[in-house]
Amino acid sequence: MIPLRARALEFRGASPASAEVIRVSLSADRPAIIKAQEGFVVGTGPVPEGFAWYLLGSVDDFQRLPIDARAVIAPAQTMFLGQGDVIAVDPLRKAIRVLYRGNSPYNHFLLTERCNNYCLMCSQPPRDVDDNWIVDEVLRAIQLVRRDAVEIGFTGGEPTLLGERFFELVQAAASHLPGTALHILSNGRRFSDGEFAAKLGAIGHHDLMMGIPVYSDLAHLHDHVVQADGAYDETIRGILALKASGVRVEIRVVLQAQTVGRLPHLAQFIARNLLFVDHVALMGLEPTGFARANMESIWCDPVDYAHQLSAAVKTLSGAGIRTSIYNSQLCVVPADIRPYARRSISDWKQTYLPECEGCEAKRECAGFFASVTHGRSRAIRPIVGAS
Amino acid sequence: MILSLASPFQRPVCRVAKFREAEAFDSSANAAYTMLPWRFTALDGNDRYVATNLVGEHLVLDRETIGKFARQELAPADPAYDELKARHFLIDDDTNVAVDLLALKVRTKLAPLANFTALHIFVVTLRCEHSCPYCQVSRANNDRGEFDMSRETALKSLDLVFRSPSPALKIEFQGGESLLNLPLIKLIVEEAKRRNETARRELAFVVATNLAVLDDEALAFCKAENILVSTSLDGPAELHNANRPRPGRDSHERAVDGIHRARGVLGHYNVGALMTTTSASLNQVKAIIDEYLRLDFGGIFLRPLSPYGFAIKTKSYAAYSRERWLEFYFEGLDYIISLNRQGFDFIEHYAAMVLKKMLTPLQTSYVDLMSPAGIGIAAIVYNYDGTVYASDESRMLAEMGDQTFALGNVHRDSFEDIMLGDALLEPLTQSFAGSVPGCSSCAFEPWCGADPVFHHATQGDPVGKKPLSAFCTRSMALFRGLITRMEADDDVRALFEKWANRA
Amino acid sequence: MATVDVRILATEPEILCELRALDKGTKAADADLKFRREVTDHQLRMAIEERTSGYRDLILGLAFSKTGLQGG
Ligand code: SF4
Ligand code: SF4
Repeated sequence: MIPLRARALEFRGASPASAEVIRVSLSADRPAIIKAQEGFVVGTGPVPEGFAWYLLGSVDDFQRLPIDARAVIAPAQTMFLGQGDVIAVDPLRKAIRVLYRGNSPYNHFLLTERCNNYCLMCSQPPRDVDDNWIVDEVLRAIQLVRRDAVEIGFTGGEPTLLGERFFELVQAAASHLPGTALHILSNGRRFSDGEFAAKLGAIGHHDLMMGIPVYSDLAHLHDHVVQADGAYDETIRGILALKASGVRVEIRVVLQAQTVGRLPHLAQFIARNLLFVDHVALMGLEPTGFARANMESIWCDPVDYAHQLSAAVKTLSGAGIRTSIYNSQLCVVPADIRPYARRSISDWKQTYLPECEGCEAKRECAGFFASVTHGRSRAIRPIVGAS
Repeated sequence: MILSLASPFQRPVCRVAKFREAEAFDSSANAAYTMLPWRFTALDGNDRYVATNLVGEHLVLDRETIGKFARQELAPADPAYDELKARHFLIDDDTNVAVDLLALKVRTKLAPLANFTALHIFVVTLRCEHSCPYCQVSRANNDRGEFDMSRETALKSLDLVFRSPSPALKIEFQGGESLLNLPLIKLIVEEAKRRNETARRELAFVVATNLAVLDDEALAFCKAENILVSTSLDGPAELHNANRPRPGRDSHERAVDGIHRARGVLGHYNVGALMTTTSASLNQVKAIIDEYLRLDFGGIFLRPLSPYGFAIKTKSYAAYSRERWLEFYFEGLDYIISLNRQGFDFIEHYAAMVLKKMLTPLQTSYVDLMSPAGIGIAAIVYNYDGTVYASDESRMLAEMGDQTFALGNVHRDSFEDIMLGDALLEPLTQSFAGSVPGCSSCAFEPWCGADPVFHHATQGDPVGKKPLSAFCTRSMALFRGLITRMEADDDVRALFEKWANRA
Repeated sequence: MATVDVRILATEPEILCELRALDKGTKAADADLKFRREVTDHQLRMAIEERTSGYRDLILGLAFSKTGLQGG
């Protein structure tokens, strides 16, 4: 686990102004104009002048800084920072936030904590706060992201609640990162307003995918999962409007007690009504946030829904829809649909169990969320003698 | 508040103050549901009914449920309620997005019609060295060329091909024996490709040939130009040769040899075969299928008896044969299902085409490369003499002296005259199944192609008197037979879904 | 397949029908049951058509007016 946020850090030489977004450099040899936008990670070597910030692993290094240098002492973070990472240094809150990691193929930006759904298993429980400052920070960060980044993501909360500023962000990604894919998680409801969808389409982002959850073929069951009456119809209309505007859509289904029972029905519903979507992701539960609090009522052991999952995958893939299983451990996925399982849990979140010792499928297996010790299948067994 | 969640595995109760229970979101019972357009037709004598919605999504329900639903008496707690709701037979206080989705599905179903004429058949010659009795069109093979398509006719026909708005164009060469006029085929392919450099359609070619005259030159050409070969194979040697006499009585041997040679050059799956069903076929469906298995084809198209040409002339298209055909068909289908159960991947194309309409939101189209040509309205035929027909069947009818479905001539008439003229539109609109009496209340109507040429040929009127029509009898039996098999067995349902997606 | 022929003998004061079996195997009771079912089914069909014709027009109207998505 790498800590991505840290508070109560010690700042030196900085007035408690608002946060500043900077790129991290481990290299001392930079043009002055670049140094002015970067933070230097102080190591054992000489400490150059001219960087906007100095990032220290220990108080002792303070002696070695140039006069008047602004510095933050963050032992736990500094050792993990790499060339090209983007961070926000926030003297006011005495914090630094890692916004982007240069050596990770996928980074996502949280755009807002507000949401108009209130999902039973939300891993990022919504808060109704004014967090417009986040947008400014992300807009700045996008400019500093490596131009060869493979993919970035926008999440929330519900990004579309930002209204015009949402388009501003997509526009920024399109313009600053012309080779980078953009994946946006949204509940899609706002796009039921066709004009809103058309506006997104009109940006013409080169590689955009909207990830939108649909939890049931029956409206009230979906509305229950997202705890919002009428959400289902809006989400479905949103998907139609997005596709009509030429925006690619991925349907995301979280596999939990409320969704797995009718999973084959949902798959048929998608094949009959939403055949034109670009991807369907069937996702194992990530037991954090509300999911943790509601675990007892939302958890269903993967071995108990293996049959439904298998039927759903066959219906979807049979209809020609690209289909993936995320966050699932291979040994509890029926063998015939294992090729659809992806190693989806990011390295820094991922772990295996002692039971996994000697498992031949470990390299392909998504494993477990490291943060979580509950919500694990009773049927984890190493796969040996590969069939 | 107590949170209790609907789950098939557990009914846990946990205390989470902020969340509302599932029932709180179910407004189904708040007010009466609103029925959306739907129809029902009896499935069998066991009180089972087939119900279909506006776009042909179906459910099998018992008579009592059908009655309750129709009378607005179905309770939301009834298990059928959710199924009807999920399949867009009703909307209620919970949701009405079904209206949008149905509209979209109607469009999807009709889209291929808007692109009409994706398949263009060129009859490059009527000459043939076979003399099949059921064939109405062929002429003796001689060198005089009066039954060959001319260069001018070919070029004028291509003008029409590229006027079709379809993004995918498939050009199929037929005869007679098409390969007897290879020079013209070459010219058409070359010219079509040249025009396509600017037209930019998805362009494909098929040569329909009996393979008897397939030489290395023709094969090399097909290979170089990426042309698929489709041939006739009626079954085992005895049946095939009886159907297709030629000097030497070796039609089957030549076909099989040609199939091997063509596969060797073009690739195994670039050679397709199509059977013609005659009364002699009716008692040997397994032998016919076995012949296709033996030659390692991925499937077979068990075709209906043709009411055209020889069949009608010789009165062999009698009611007896029609009823026998259904037995023939289902015996064959069940045999193929059992083959699949044993692990042989083998498809029956006729079922697959019908199942595609029944089980997917898509319309059956004949653009798919290996699918059989010449049925339905998706084809347009350019005869050797420049006459244009609405389908292969129409051409057969014309050869028998009935010009009803001749749309015009490439030398005299414009695209508008031909494609938007009365000869095509009238029978099409008249027979559009939804507007025909008898069909409008039939649950099978969304799956049922109206067949104007068939009805004209057999009853002298393109609409047809449905209850009497052999077409309707056959269609009903087919739909019922397919549904009964799916309802009885989940493996069959899975197999049928697979076929539907592949067709 | 038609197995029963129906003739309407009178419409006043009530509708009077005569059922005639077309093949000898058909029993009177079966024919009667079959006919009654046909009549109920027919009435249901008419009721459905009447109740749903508004939505049929609405959906077809939407289908042909909207631009965008089609052809899958
Ligand atoms: S034993 Fe562990 S590594 Fe192997 S498939 Fe199961 S969870 Fe994955
Ligand atoms: S032809 Fe027969 S099966 Fe087809 S729609 Fe009409 S009544 Fe139904």
